[in-house]
Amino acid sequence: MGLSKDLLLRTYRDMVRTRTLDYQMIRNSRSGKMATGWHSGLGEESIVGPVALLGKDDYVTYTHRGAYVWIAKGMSMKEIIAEFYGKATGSACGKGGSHIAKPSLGIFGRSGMQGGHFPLAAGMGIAAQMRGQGQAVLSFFGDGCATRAPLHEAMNYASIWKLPILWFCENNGQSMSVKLNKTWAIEDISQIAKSYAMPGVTIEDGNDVIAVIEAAQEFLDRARRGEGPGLLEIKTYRWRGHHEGDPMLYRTKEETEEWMKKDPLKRFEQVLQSQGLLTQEDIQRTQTEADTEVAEAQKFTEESPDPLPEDAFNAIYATSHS
Amino acid sequence: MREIYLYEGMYEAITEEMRRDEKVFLTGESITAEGILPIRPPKGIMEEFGENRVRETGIIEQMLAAGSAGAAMAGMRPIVDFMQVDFMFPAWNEIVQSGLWRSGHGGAENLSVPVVYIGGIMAYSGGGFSHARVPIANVWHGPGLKLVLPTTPYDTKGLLKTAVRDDNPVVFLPHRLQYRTKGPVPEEEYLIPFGEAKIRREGKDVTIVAISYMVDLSLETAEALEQEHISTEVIDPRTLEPLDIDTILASVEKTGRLVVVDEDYIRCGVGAEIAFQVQEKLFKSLKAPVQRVGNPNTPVPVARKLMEAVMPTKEKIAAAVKKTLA
Repeated sequence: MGLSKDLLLRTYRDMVRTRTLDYQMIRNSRSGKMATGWHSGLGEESIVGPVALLGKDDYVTYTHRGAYVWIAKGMSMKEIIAEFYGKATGSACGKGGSHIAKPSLGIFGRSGMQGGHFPLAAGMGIAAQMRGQGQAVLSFFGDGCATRAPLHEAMNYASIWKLPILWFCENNGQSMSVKLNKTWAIEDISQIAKSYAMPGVTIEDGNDVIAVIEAAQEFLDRARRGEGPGLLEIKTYRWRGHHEGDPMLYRTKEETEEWMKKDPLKRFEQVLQSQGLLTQEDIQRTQTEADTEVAEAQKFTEESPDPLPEDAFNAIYATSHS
Repeated sequence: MREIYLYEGMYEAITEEMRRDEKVFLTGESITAEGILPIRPPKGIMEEFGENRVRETGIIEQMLAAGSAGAAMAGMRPIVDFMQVDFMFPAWNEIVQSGLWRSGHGGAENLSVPVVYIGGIMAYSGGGFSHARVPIANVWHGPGLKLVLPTTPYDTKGLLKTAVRDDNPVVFLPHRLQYRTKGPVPEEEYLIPFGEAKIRREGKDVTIVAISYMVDLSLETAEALEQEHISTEVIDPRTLEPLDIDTILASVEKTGRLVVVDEDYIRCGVGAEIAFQVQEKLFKSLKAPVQRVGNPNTPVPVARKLMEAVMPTKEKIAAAVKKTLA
């Protein structure tokens, strides 16, 4: 399948931006200035690609490690970092923290109850289906929350109603500290797709960016044609702990190092170079631009005002009606 | 004026709102099945609106609640029929959280979650500890949800139409013992705003604030007390969020005595909240301690005699009224 040069380079750029932001937030986590915690997605950046396939009107739900969604869907780093700092300039004026939302980009936040997003995503699929304009929903989830009950209700009805959804499992093999073989009796989460009469595919090498984009493209096209949902699972790994501060006593250094050798970003960079789409100069420029963007967003955040105490009482009830 | 059943008012509201706004859809278990449920769905609803807008389901409470909240955030206006209010418990997180999204997003881009959750109150049904629970205070306790408890066909229709048009999640709880209450409902369209209590009966000695079906029991009690020359005012708040406390305060200022009646557990309940708000404003006007009638934190039994020992009855309401006069 021919993926456009534009899509590939945009994906590359957003992977670099996401990773640069991630490193900054890891540093910020030690600053004592953050209002809420950071869940790093380092090592899982191959999921930027599928987000690049979405239009502004498509809907997306994300996991703990949502930076790739916010960045690739078009949010600014300023409103993201400021939200984690609890500043008035954050995307939710300091009220939502990591549950980042941007309704105009089809991002409606994240349920704090893990797996709570499955039915929410199905609901976005209902809206897309009712509107009938070819919108799709890309719903990311981890192997951890996939053990919860809402998955069943949502996947079953998404399939019965042929909702335009791609259920996208970032299987990093760890439910906080508990390994996959203690949380699932099956090896591949895509096996559950059969129970809901939808196609399910596992990409063993989930850090192969092009394979991930191509598979996601096929599922999204199918969903947009009205043929119903599908489940795509990629096997990947988070380099950091569940959250910053997790001592990671449940896994070996060797295991992490093995996965770090399979770095999705470095490998994608090499592929693009070998295809003549990216020069050493491009790589440096992309990194410099990302560094500048992060530094500016960081400065913006630190200079931003705190919300006023009375702001806590705003926006609880809508005063509008249809 | 024509008279219709309360459940007919409910379905007229749903059908009219679905005709008015194509973003409105109805979902729930067995919503098109005639003859199974205590309330009959409007004839021909599937034929008129189709499967896209009449989403009949099996047993999927979390999906009903959060699926509808998700659709609402994405621009639709769902109406969810949970059949019974206790069936909201499996979806409790999803319902409560739907009232938090707006604030949690800081009101970003004026995000709203316009969804209506309907559930019939099943008290006095023989449903026992599970089905006959009446979780009114649970809904009212936290921020973000509106809460409507209609008691007449007229109010049911007008309040439900308002609920569908409201940009917040609304929990709408009619009472099964009132589904087949008949009352006047005009043919022409009308809406009833939230936050306006109704004085169902005027009186001068004691104020009763009654919630849901307790309005009927309190009115009957008031008639009986009239024989004993006790004049009782009965107030039906109709909506708890928002609450029209002013109408209650004006009444208590006049009578100096208050009894609050609802079917939920008493502890941390509706009566506690209303009594607190009244004493805070009218401490010096009160001639007696406020009385509460409700379920004394007891699982609802099935056997009639046991159930009546636990739940409010006319006798208990009368006794509470007299206690304020003692």
